[in-house]
Amino acid sequence: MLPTIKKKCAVGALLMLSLLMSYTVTPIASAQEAKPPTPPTGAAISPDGEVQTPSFIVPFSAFASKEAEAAFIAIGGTHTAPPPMTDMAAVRRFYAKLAEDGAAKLRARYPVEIEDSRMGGMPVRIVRPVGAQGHNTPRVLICLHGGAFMWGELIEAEVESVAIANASGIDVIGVDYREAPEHPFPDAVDDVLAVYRELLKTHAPQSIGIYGGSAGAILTGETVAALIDRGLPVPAAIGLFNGGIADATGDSIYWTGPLTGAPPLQPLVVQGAMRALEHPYFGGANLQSFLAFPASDPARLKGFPPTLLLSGTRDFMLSSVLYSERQLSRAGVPTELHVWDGLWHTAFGHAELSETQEMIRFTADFFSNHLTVPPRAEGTR
Amino acid sequence: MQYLRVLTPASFVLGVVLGFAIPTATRTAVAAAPSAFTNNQQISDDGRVRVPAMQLPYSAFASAAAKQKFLEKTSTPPPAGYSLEELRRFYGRFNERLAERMRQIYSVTESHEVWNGVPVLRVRPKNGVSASRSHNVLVNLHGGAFMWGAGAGEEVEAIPIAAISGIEVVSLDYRMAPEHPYPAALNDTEKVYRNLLKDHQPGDIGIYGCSAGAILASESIARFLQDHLPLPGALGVFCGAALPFAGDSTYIAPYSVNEPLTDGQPDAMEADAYFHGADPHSAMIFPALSPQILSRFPPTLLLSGTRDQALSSCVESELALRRAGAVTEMHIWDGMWHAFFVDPDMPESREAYGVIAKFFERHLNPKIRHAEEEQFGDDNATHY
Repeated sequence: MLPTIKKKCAVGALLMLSLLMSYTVTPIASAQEAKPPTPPTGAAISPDGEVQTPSFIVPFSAFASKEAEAAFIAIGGTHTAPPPMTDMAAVRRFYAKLAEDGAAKLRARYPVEIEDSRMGGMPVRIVRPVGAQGHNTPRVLICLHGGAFMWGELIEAEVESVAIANASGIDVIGVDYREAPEHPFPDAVDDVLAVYRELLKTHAPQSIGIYGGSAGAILTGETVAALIDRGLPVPAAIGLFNGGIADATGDSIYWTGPLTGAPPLQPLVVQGAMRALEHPYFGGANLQSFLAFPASDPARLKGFPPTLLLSGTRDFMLSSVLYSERQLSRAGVPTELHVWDGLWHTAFGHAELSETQEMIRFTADFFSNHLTVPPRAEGTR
Repeated sequence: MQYLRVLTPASFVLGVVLGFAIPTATRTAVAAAPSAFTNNQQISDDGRVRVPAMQLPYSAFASAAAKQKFLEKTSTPPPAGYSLEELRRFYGRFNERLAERMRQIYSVTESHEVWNGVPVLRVRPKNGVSASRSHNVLVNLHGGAFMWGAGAGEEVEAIPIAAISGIEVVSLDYRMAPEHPYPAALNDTEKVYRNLLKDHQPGDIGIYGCSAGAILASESIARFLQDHLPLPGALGVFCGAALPFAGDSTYIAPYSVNEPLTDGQPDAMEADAYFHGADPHSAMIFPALSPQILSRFPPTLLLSGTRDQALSSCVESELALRRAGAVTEMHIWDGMWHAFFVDPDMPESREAYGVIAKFFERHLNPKIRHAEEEQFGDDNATHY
């Protein structure tokens, strides 16, 4: 897998690399460089429904906040490229450093207590709210961090937990699940299940929620699918942010590269194929299976708990999120969908955006409403 | 009409965004000359992006039938250079064909009446309205840029919903622009609503509309509040909502459906004939501009597609409603275009009808609640 990824870097599709599924394609790209696209003349649509669009200019969303616009402009200007994917240790250090910086700012902003521990044999980071909301309620959230299934670890889990713990008053347990490429699917799922089973010893499933962003969203859905598959109780509610329970395809895959300053994907190669096949995490997995992408099995989706789905119009996972929502809703699962105009895949990583603060509020409200507070005596299983 | 905003020139270099862990502080922006794209720039200093020429495959999440319909739609050039009369004839023929198909698929009875001076079309399931839903009624406000869509367009929007929900749909032939600008259509909507209130509890009534009809439906809530009328039980706004058509989708959607923007600027449908002279910053026109008004909104269903130019307006209206405390439900179909469900021969459309029917069943007064209100509420309320 790694040599494939290296080639992709050479193409310069760096932003697309950030896309959780690394489906950017090399062979076509070189042909593309040699032959610039010709402007379309008249109706330009292939018999297969493929539209040839001319070059055009899009201003930043008129609906998005000033802070979002500033972040959108600023991130490009100061970003340092990550090390090549061939050196995964360096890549992980690179993202850990980014996450450290983020975590330090979040800790200053939101008062929480942080404790490292082990649950079910897995390293976890527990983020507890302090202050008015109190802590140690019988309710608990599991956070599955993002990072393309390949990086992130506990520091990224902390970044994605602090504001939500603070806003919800609920303890958040971040899981240091094993990462690809060393540990492909379903290793990470097994790790989350180990933590969840441990938690069931002290908590009713109706008091547990699971959420994740990007790869963490996919992992959240896979965890629920595995629970259903094994006949174990599912949590009370889940949150899927910038990711879903379906493959990374659809309209957003094509639009959101250019909308965030990256080259478009090459449709000839990805069309009709399961892009996830190329990702180290999914190596060898049956992508049509309920366990990998639960949306592929509508009959078994019925067992999913209420699901919160969040995305933005410049998130490459938007289409996957939207399709996931429809499939869940058709299966009778209560869903809640919110989409922010102009926001990109990692925009919620910017704590200062009013959009991010709203996302935190909606998430806290959602879990507060769906997680029950059982009498203390019933808190065991 | 574009949302007004001030652009901040700032420095930028094309770069990457990786992982979830973006540093949280806003970087200091270096002032730069506004906004030309330099050679390899894909994003300008003021946040504009230059999308290169590209190939956009049809959505892998959409059905085969949708792809076929998409091909038919995109291989027919949109009307260009037509007069208003020609446009009305064009859309009239378009809607006639769809209405014919609707009547083939769905058995309904239709009758025309005039209520408080407003022509209405009453559409009922052929086998009668559902016994448990006979006290409910839905008001349909048709789409068509406030300028066309009356007649066959009303049937297209009313027939499947009446047939599937088992609830009678009353569709308004409201006065259209440019002959009758704002607020003529809104006045007509209020007249019909007042007529319905004579023999319905407000919670028995649902209002829905598509495109211009969605804007009109949103406005009707603001208007009823202003006039101290009791509010309907639920609202459905499809491919349009409580904000102007602006944001990302007004750029992306036209290119997605093979109708490139002619001068690089999105059409501002609502700025045209209907809103002529009206204040675009008024919450009576776009209620999402007022959190107070939104907080009073009934449960609201919002539907759109990723190739709908109103997508951004819908998702932002949903956020504004939720922020204000309203109950919302939103579904978005990948690959689907503006008002796609006027065509019944796609699974996506039938799914949308089911969603709409279920939403109103869930949120309009059930029979028992209606009976209680009859008993303890308005003495004049009678069952029709």
